[in-house]
Amino acid sequence: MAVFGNILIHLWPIEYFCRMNRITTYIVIAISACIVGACDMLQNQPYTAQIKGPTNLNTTNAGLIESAGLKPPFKFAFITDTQGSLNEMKSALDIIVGRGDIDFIIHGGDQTDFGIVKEFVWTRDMLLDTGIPFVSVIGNHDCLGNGNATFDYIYGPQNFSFDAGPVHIMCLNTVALEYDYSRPVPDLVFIEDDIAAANKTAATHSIVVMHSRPYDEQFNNNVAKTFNYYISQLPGMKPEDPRRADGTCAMSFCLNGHNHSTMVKDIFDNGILYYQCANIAKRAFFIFTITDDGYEYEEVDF
Amino acid sequence: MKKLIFSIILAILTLHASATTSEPTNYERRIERRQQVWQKLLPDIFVLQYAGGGATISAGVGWDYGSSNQWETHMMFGFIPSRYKHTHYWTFNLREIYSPWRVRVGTPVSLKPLTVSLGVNSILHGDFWMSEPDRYPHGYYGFSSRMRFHLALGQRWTVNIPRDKRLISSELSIYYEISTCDLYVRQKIRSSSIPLKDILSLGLGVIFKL
Repeated sequence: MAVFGNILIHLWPIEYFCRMNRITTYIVIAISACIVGACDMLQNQPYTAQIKGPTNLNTTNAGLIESAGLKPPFKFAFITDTQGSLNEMKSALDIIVGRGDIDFIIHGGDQTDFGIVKEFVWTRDMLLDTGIPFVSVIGNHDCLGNGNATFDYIYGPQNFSFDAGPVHIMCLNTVALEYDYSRPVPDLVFIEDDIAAANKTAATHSIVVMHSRPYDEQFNNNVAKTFNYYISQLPGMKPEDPRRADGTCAMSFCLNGHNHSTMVKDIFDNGILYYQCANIAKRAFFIFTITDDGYEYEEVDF
Repeated sequence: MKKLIFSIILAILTLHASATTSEPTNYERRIERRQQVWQKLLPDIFVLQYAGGGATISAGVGWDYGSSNQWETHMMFGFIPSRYKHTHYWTFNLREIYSPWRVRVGTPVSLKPLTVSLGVNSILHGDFWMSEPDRYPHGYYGFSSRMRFHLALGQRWTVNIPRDKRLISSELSIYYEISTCDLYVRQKIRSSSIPLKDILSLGLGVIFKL
């Protein structure tokens, strides 16, 4: 009986609530309704906020691009370092969608400034709105806090590859400094296995996508030359593969972001060009057209 | 033997003497002062909060002060369970709350129509650093992933429990607060297309006051 009495004592505020005048009751009900309506705002820390919507996008979208059966000529867009510049990114994506001839989009990493969940979600949702398949490599900013795990959840693998028609596209995590060199970044075992697999297919072109390129402060420069040795075994990057008059690979190239400036450079002086795109805040992105015997490069300033 | 009896009598007499003195000794005054100081440091409010930009669930203690208890300091520990690919996290939260008004709504119920809270929140995990680790060049990122600054506005309803019905507290309050943090504000300023709702978090809580 004493226990029952204790429970009753706890319930007494309800009794007062029932005795409140009508206006107060309405106010309390209205505010309660607002709170219930704003339930998806019941968020915790910015690094652990709720993630709704599609995940594992690198795997699903790479599958979509592969199964689209692309045949040259086809086009893809490369945007990078969109952190904190969603307005500019929206303008770029509007241009890409407006053209109507882009088959897929590659994001070069640094979707976020701080690695917080909402930054990933904002970028992802904007890309999803285009209706064009997209994949992304991880950038150094994306690793901050628990961003690495958030990227894994939303995008899936950080090292992956897929074939768009005759083009073998290898996407790599190259931001070794973020892990204090404690992880195999770039993952040479993945690269070796993937090159062996690519050479068994009919791929004639190769594109290696990374956030940070060799000799950047983020790259593991201890293996820069090894990295170059490995990727020069890819279809279209081998010494015997077709070359342009200036000695650069006619079919294959590398793509990177990170340095917030546009630059095209043959880093290892072996004909493999690194196309470095500026951050989206500088209102620039790349469009590549893949043809049967090569590729065309276009820089869009908007 | 005589010596022993004498010392026992002396001891009893001194005990008796000290017990009957009305004037406290310096020692007693010092002890009393010490107890008063420590008494003030004892928390008089207990807080339990769900969500609100800090942790999934936070619990802690607090102190209220000021001429009409308009100031409050809350110190809370929070827990965020593991989900997605994130591990579980423990958090620490320290905040200062100012409530300029208190309005009587009914006999036992009063409303604080506005509470303003400013606080710091920290995820207690090695992936989050206070200042950049040595591997980065100086000023590489220029922010702390561990220290978050939160600003929140809210309202609070307080029920004053009648003396005869008090069990664990004299006042019971429920509150909500809508908060945002430094990183959200910074991104919203840079990208106006971010919906306002995305940078706000709602928190619901209960406060017991002793």
